[in-house]
Amino acid sequence: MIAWLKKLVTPPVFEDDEEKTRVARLLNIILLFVMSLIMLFSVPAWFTTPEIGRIAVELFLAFWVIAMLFILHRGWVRQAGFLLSFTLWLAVTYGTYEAGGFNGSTMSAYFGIILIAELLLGVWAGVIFGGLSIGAAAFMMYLNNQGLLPPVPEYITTATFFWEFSAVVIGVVALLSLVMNSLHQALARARRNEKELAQKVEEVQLLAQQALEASEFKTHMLARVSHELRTPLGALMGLAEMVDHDVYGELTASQHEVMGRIVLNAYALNDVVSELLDQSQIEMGQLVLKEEAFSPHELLLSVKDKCMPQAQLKGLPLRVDMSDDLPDTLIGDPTRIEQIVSNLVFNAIKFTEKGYILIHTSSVGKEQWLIQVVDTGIGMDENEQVDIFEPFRQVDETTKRQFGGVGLGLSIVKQLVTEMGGSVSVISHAGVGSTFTVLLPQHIVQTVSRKPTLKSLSMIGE
Amino acid sequence: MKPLALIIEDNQDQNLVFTTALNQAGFETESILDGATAQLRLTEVVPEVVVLDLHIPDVNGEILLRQIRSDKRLAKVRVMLATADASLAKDLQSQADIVLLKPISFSQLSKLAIRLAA
Repeated sequence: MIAWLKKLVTPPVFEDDEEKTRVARLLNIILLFVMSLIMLFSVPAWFTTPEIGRIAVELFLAFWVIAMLFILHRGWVRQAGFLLSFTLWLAVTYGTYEAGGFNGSTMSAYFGIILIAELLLGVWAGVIFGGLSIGAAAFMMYLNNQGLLPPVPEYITTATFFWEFSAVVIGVVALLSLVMNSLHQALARARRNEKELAQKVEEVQLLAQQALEASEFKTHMLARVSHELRTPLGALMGLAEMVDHDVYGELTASQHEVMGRIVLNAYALNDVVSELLDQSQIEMGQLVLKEEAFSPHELLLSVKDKCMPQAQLKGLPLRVDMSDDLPDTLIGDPTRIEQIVSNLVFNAIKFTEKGYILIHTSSVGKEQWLIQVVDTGIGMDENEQVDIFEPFRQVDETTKRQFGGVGLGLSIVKQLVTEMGGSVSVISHAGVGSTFTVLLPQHIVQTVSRKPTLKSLSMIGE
Repeated sequence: MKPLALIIEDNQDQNLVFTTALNQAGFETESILDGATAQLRLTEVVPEVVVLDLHIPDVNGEILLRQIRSDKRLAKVRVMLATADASLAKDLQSQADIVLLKPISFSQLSKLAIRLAA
């Protein structure tokens, strides 16, 4: 019982709602204050002038206050606030009536009620209790005019009037101070929260900055490592090929086979390194597309030269089929276009065991240039085609183990083609082969202004 | 007398691959591992072919290429540029006779060397 009462007089705390806790604490203080007043003024009178009716009313009021405390502790803060305001209003109205209406000083207490209601519950409560108070005053006026008000009790004198008025003023000032203090605390809390929020924002910004730097570091490291891998890898490929070409004496068939495998693996490793380097360059924003004149014919022959060694290792014919309608000179970034086509061709070689690889190219109207890479490889069914242009996608894990690579080649193709304002698509049938189609905007040179760039020998390498 | 080829490449193994291919094609070869030595040697001899790596210590390949091209004495020298940077290779294509993109296939290199020797 004592524990229960103790709990009831302690202001409730609502973990997730600081504003609710603030209002509840305020209400708790007011209710306890009202309870103390009842005790202070009523209990002594019970012994001096015991009157059953009055004692019953006062006891009821005391229980009513306890009930409101209970409601408050249940978390129904607004409801408790409204009940308190309404109870006070009823009490003041009854007191006014008892005191003979306008002759008493109790009416000034309405202002206190309106203030409490508005500060506790908001503007709407202030309006409601303002209306109720005016209503009460009008009712008193009506009763007065009809002569229905009780006569002014004898105990009301100028002195009691003064004391009552003073008590109301002190009560209002006390309550207002309480409310204002509570509001100030709320404001301070809001400022504190704001400061904490600003700190958090700063922390988050710092973290974002760190993440960005980490990502940049990773990209730079990738570029650096890929570059450093290339040099020894290049030497390894050259040396292995030298041995394979009988530079150091004739090899047996099985020795040739092993050397061939070493070379094949070195090429595969080189593809990975190239892909990583390309991807890191794209990520570093180093992908700046050039606008220069180039010959599409020479470009595709250069791709053929570049891809031929790998095709030959697998015994696959690599053909280039160029349509006559293709202009002699186009404007674009030949290095990157070469990269697009050779990535597609390397991809085709990787997934083809027998048959052929074909590079087909032609103009599509005056606006577009089409490049197709056709293979007779393992192909893909529809499900497998969905994500192939996404980074790190390969048909499945088995494919990855069997065919190697990190799965960046086609993603790089897609990124480059998109950057050029073109498109890339695939048509494929499992077990039959695949056709990759690249459409690029065709910028034709109007005046013949080809740079004397290419000498009699074409570029070779890779 | 065999025509002279200077192989300017700082990676010894890569240098060996170039040297072997050109040797087989009938060139007299000299391996040089840095830019400064290459610069000096080019004042002494007029090679038929220079295989030039762009990333070499002391004096870089781009500068060497420019020097060769501005030297009338070396006007007939044929330069094979070797680099892994496709973009840079395209930029320098007009100044070189052949641009080799690393990694370079030995078999293609051999064929090319034979064509150069002819």
